[in-house]
Amino acid sequence: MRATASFALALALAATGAEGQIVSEAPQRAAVTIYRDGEPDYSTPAYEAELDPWSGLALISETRSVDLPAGRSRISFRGVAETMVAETAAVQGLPGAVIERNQDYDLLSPGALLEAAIGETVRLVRTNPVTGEATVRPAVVRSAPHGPVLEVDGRIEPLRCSGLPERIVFDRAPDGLSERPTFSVLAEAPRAGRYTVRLSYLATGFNWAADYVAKLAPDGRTVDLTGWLTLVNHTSTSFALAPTDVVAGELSRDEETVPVQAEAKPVTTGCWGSLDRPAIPPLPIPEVAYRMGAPAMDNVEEIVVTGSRVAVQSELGDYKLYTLPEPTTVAARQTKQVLFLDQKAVPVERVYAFRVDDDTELDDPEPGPTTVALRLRNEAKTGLGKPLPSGVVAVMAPSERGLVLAGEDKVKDTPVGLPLDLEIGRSSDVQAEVRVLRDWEEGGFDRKAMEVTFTNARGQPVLVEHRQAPTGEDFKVRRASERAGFLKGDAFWRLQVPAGGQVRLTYEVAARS
Amino acid sequence: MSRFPVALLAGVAFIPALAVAQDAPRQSLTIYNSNLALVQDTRTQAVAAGRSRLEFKDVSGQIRPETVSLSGAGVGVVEQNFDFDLLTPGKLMEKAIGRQVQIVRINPGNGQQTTETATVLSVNEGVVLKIGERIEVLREDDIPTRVIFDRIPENLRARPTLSVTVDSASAGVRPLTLTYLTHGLSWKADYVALFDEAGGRLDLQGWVTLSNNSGVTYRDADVQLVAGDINLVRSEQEYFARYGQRRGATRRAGTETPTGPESVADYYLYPLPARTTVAQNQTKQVSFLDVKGGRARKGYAWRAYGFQTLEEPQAADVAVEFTNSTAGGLGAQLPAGIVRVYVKDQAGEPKFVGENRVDHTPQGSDVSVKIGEAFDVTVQPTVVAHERSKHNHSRYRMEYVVRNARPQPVTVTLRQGGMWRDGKVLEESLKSTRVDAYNLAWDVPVPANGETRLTAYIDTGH
Repeated sequence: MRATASFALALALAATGAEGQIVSEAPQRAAVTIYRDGEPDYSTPAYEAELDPWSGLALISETRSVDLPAGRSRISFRGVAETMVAETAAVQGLPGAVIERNQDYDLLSPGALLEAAIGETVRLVRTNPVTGEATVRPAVVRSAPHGPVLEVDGRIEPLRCSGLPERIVFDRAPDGLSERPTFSVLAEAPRAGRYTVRLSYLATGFNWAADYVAKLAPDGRTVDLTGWLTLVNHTSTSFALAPTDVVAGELSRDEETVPVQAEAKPVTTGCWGSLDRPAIPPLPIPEVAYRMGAPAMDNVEEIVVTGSRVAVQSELGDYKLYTLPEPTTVAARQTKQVLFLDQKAVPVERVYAFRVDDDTELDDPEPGPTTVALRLRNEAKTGLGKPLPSGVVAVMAPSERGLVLAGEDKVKDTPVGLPLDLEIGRSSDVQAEVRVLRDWEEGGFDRKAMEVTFTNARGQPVLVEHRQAPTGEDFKVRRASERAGFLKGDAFWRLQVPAGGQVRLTYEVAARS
Repeated sequence: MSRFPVALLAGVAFIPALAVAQDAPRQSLTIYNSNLALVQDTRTQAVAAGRSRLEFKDVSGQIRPETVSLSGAGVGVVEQNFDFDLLTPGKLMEKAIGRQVQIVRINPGNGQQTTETATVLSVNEGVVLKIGERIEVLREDDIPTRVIFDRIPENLRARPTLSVTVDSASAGVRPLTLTYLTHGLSWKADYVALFDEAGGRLDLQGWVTLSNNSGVTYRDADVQLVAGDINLVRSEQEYFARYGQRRGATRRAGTETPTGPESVADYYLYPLPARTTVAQNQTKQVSFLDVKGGRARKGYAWRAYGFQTLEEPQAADVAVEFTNSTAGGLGAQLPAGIVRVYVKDQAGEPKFVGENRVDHTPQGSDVSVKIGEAFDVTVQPTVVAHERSKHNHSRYRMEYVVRNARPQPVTVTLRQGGMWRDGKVLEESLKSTRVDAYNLAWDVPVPANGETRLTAYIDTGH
């Protein structure tokens, strides 16, 4: 058995002997493009979130300088993001043909170390727990790693089933095992020389979100709208001074575009009976040094906002590309915020909305709140006219003691030209009460006489939008006290309710029985 | 667990391990898309005259032992065994029941060792020993106690081991070929498509991505890949895993016969150009396609399955459409895989813009790869009226607002399902095509930074 293992080793050396082994330790420059993936988890601060290797995406383009001998070389790329999806890699700038490229993820771990030593001689060190005396014996590994069994002095003993301190000492680490997944390219160079190589790849664990703050003017007629890009790097790889941009839009993604899951094999003892105990304590989870307080430079970015520090928007196919104003360091385990939108005095209309549909409680009516929305028109002539990537808008209102949060809403990707309603909450001052005054059938139609009363406890008149969803086929509205409009499939009214007053709307609905 | 009683094998079990004499295997791998490979492993091996038992090391850990066959000149196979009873301390103790072991106790006060001989009585949630006339439970007092065994029982091994008992007319060294199917080897295609929208061109690179999780390394192997779905008697779960991921990107199946890869049965073969080492826990990529300047266009599409009102506009899908025909400049049949599309940004840097799957696609097919949703092109449908017509029929007055915030005009293919029995269009503001009995389609032109309102009045049964 021993002979076979050493023979395999010799073979391994022979197989790799023909080509030069080049290691590229780190990129000289990198550019990062971050894609949005799913909705950010607003309930967990980024510094507490676990690295989910399946979420988030970035395109990393690295520039590296590689010294190649003439002939065939295997170039290993280190310092790549550990979430690299190797099959997406593109390597440009090599002088000759790429023969193949590999990602090796046979990890060096306690289990792999022991497994590679099957049939080989190792040293077994036993320490007498009383005297502290250590004895070293040569031992042949006969089984691993689901319960190591050793042959010592021609007899068979399991490892670490006795309760004695025991350990195995190996002479060398086996070939072909690496500390992390390694991407390499086997390439042919016609001439030796220094080559500038571009390595680009997709990596998960990066994400971004748009966050908006809309500050209402004291008169409530305009908002100052600012938008922030929040970049998150959940990986443990940093990219220093990298040109960085983000892509807004929904890309099709495939669930298999994820980094390889390398298995780190532990050693289990596999001892008998109930007295089993782990041979090797579970590996401690490394403490990640979270950046709880952002470094000084980031604080500066958050506070000092000038026009020149605003991300620049351009087109990328059918998506929007936001390029950060200058190269930035996308550090491991960091969130970073950069302004991308700063629009002053965008006109808004405050709308109080109410809708009657199948879910509305009609048999036991009571007054209920209306929904308050701020309506923006995303057009250049109204002072906006910018694509708005999906995100959360926080609406702030001035008060005597400074700004207060008036409410939050999510917005979808909103192109220029579409109206945008920000629902910021429910109004207790502007209420609606629906009552069915009469319910009958006539001429093959189900009919209802409706009465909706809007009350306004605010000090200024308000605009109310009332919608009545169709009640069935051949839906009709008749005898309305105000003429009905049509909006998104519903009957629709816009009503002005005076300050401290009320408005009553009556109409009949009919639908085929 | 052994397939045969130990006694039956005892006669051949003491034949010296001939594996040591084995030469470096020459291996060839035929890898399928469906987590399966055919391994042909030729080794030069000394075979004794008469019956002998050969052990084969370094065969796949995920071998399907029922598919093993061994061939060699003048060698007949008596039986094949795949032993997967692994040697662990617990198994060692179980097999020692009724046998004697050595017990070494270490005195926790002075470190003195005392050695005794014990007989193992049982291994049930603890080990019961008979030491002299005493019955004890091993390490009940938690005093460190070593247990030393005389030998490793016959059928316990460090790794699952394939052994073949052969009958040979003569002794001698000869090549033996072991053929088997194994899981843990698979491949797929990964495509990089660089799309130039303005020029209507597509550069398409294809990479074969093969992965090996079978447990062993295949050194200097001859590798060929089979593109196609071979039938396998398999679990439903695997079936759905295989087909569930395939989203149809093929719009029209092609009829061109490729000049490239060799075909075998109804599948295509992609041999790797040179022998290569396929290492355990490795993903290996080799280029198989590199075509430049094929014709391609971008398409916008939006689809409704029923008649509905949407509160908010919905983004249209964006797809890159091409024909993998010789005339279209992309004449190659495409093995199933993922197409990742890149376009150049304003600085000329290629940027990823979305990915999707293609199925095994014959040459000459129309392919439409959805890459994402358009930020600036939206569709908002409204049911303006829903009327009852004759028995079991409804009439829908539909309005679709198709908006375009891009500075170029676009055409959106709008597809409306929900046409059931006797479905017909009574009025429409643009001419529709009837895709089939159940679906209508309109090509809706939308001006730059503008919108188009499409209206239709439709009567359909339920």
